[in-house]
Amino acid sequence: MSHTVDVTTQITDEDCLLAALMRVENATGQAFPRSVIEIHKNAVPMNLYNDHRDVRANVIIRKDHLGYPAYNDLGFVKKADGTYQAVIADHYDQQWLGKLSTYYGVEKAKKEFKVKGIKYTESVDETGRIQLKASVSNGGIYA
Amino acid sequence: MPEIILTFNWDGTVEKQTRGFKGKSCVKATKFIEDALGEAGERKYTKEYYDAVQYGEKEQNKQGLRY
Repeated sequence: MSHTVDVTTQITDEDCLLAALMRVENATGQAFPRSVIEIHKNAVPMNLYNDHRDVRANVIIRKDHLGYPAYNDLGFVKKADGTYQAVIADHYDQQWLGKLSTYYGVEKAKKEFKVKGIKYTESVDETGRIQLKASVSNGGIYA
Repeated sequence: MPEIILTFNWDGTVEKQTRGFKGKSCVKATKFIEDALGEAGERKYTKEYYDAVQYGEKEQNKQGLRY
C-alpha cells in the first residue's frame, strides 16, 4: 500500500445521479424506476407542502412516486458551481442521502475507470460496504 | 500490478487506498479519482511509500557520484 485518503462525495454528474437513484432503496424498499425520474435542463417548480417559495429543481421525483403519502416532491437543484443540492423531506432524510451519495460514488468511480480503460471488480466487503478494486496496468500514468 | 481500492461508506464518504505503486507515483496516478468523487481529506502515506521514496533518493545520490 502506498497511501490512503478519505473523500467526501459531491454530486456533480447527472448520469451517475440518475444511476444512483435507480439503485438506492426508496420508501417501499425498491429502487426508483427510470420512468418516474424527471430530468430538466432548465429547473422547473417543485410541489412543496405549505411552502409558497418558487423552489425549482433539475432532477425531480414527484410526491406520488415516493412510495408513501408524501406532501413534497423530492428534487436536486444544479447550482452554479456544478454540484447538485438535494431538496428532501420526511422518509428521505440525511441517512437516505448518505446512501444515495454512496451509490453515486460507486457509479461515478466506475464511469471514470471506464473512460481511462481501467479494469475493475465490484464486490461487498465483510462489513457490507461496496468495494471497487481497479488494476492499473500501465504503471498508473494517466492524462 | 498496482491497484486502487475504493471502499464506500454508507454515509457518502469513500476510503481510497493504493497498493503497489512505485514511490510518489501513487499520488499523481490516482488523483483523478479523488477529483471525480469530491473533496479529499488528509492523505496518509504508508511505510511502502516512504521506503520507495528513500530508495529513489539513494539511487539518485549514487548516480550523482559518477560525475
